[in-house]
Amino acid sequence: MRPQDRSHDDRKTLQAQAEDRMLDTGLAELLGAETVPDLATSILRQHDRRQALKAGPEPKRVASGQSLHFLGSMAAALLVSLTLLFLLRPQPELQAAELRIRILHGEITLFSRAGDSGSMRLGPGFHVLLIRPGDRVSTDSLGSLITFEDWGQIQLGPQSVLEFKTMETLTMNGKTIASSLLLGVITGTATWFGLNETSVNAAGSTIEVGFQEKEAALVANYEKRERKLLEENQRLNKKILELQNQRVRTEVTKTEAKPSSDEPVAMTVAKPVFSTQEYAEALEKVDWEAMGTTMKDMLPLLDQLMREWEETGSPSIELAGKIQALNGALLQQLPALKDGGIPGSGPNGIFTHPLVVSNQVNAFLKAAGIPLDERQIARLKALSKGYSTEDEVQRLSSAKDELKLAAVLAETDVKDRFYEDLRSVLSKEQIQKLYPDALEGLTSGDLFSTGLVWAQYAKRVKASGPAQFQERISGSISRSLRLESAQQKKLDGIVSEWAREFPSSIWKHKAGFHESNQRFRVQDVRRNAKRQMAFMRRLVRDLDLTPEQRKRLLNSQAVFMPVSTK
Amino acid sequence: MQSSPLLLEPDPLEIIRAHQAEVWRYLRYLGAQPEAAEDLCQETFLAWLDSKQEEIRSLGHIRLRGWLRGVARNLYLASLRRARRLPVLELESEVGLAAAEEVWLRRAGEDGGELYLAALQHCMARLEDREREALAHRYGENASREGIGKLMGLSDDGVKSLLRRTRARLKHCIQAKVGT
Repeated sequence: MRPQDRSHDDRKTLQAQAEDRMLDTGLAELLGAETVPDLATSILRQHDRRQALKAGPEPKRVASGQSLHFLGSMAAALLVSLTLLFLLRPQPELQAAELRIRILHGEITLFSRAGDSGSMRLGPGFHVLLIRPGDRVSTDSLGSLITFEDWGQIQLGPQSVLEFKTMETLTMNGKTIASSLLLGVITGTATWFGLNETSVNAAGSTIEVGFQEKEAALVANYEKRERKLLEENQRLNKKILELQNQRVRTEVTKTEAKPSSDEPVAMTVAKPVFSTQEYAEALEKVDWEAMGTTMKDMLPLLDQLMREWEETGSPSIELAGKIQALNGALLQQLPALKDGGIPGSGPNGIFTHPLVVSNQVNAFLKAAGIPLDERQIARLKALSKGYSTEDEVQRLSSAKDELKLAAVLAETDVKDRFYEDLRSVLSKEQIQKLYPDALEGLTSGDLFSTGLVWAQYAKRVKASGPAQFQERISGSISRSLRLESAQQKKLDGIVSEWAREFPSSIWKHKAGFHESNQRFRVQDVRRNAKRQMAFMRRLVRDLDLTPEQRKRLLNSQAVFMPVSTK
Repeated sequence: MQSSPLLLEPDPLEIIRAHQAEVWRYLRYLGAQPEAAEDLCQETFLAWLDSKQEEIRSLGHIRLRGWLRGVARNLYLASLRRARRLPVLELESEVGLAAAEEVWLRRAGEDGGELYLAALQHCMARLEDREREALAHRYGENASREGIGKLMGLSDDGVKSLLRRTRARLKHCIQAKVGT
């Protein structure tokens, strides 16, 4: 019988088999040792290697239409092609070597090169790692600070991935130890504080660690030659990145209706105008002129991206690439602020501190040709200092609350009032420049609101109606806390009551463009966060949680945002 | 967004992290063993990363998911042909493939299987202790029917019947929760 002649019954049978299979795989995942693997770093590593093999001796030409992200990838690919010269040679680089590190704050995950040894999570303290070229280190949303013994310190930004590209080794007391390393920044940022230099490195760049004289004397001549090649390669990488930045800047300039060049625009805002004694050192390390100019360039692109996305249904890769490059430049300023103790929930909490925002706004408006006048600066100085103090006070007060979400709410409450007062200082023209219509009040869009903070915590929960929404929330919490069946039953009741607090109108129509794409109105996230606080307190009170479950629940800062798929 | 002020789609790391669970589950659903599913999942994303076509690199989420599933399925079928084995589900015929896709889209098409798993967990909580115990032996410990029988004091047919009944209850419960 030919397949197309199959009867209706056959089709039903095949569907029933598929349903059985669905059930089998679901049960295996829930009850078995099977877990969905995180293959992301392994895939990107393999991709880098394949690209390197394909690259050959000739540098690749980058098509002008491709996104800038791929330009950055090519810079990395050039490096890897040389790295392979090391890997293909039967040299000590292939063997594992010890590397002694001390994690000062944050946590890292070490991924083995072959992907077959899994991953290892390391917290603060001293560690002796056994590493090979190709191994990777990643950070979570908090980033981390690591000391490489005798060499210097590296500050890894949030969600950053670093790869041990090549290494040279020495044998001491029968042990193979790493004497120098070439580190590649795969994603995020890495600031290197060496004995003689400090460098801020974005994705696609490399960092040389080690290479001290006593060790350099031990390497053979051919290794020196190859190192020269690597240095040349690094120089080329830097050149490519410079060209990339230049291209972004040029294209941004082209797309903007810029004021004529003879208009007076003050450009000397490298120093912070708004500061306090406590944070002066941190704020002085930031290049405010660069930050202001970058944000000024980025905002119209974001506005354009959102408008086109809404119109066409998909984001422009080219625009997104430009924005990502500018965003990377902003992130380079983050380590200085974070290390200097500027407080805030997550990276965007730091970016929205009143003193940081005041300096951003000042630099942004100067770069845009509509600078703050003396009177506005004086008013903003008073506001930023006042709200900075208020932020400290709320931080001390909310620290008493066990629920971590309470701290985010308290922080954004203070900052919302600050942003409101900031507007009262600005002229209409300045407000229009800082708040394009398409972005205003949106998480992940509005650069001058607490939307940036909430963007880190608002979680879209898609459902066709209230029953499915409850089901998903209940399932998610149950799996996250690994609840027993008795706890599960209680949870269902509490979730059901909480879900009824959402207006039924949200389920009548399919969610809008922004909500469907994980962007929300700030006031909606705040309202849901408040509801969720009460809900979480009830879970803590009524679920008879184990200490581990309780800790997990108290630490959760996610705010569930219902999104109708009707 | 965790690391930067913006939430943008084209970062490969984010794309892979957003879709890898669905691709891996889909491969398991088609019949790939866990290790093979990992390998094929990696190959699927490498095919996406290697793609030079801008329209593929810039697909929206929904279309990208469909594209990834198509690549994963083809890679899986190619691996079976190399090993001269037949697929668990009938995927070589038009009608078989359509049935497999229909069930996947119905059960996991919207969210990569998250809702289905949530419903399944919910339904499991409503089972009798004995039924849950049998499932735990079968799927958690990979025990044979004979092994389960010894542990639970049941005959081979008794285990078969208990598992069949339990699975039927689960399917019925899931259908009630996520639709037929």
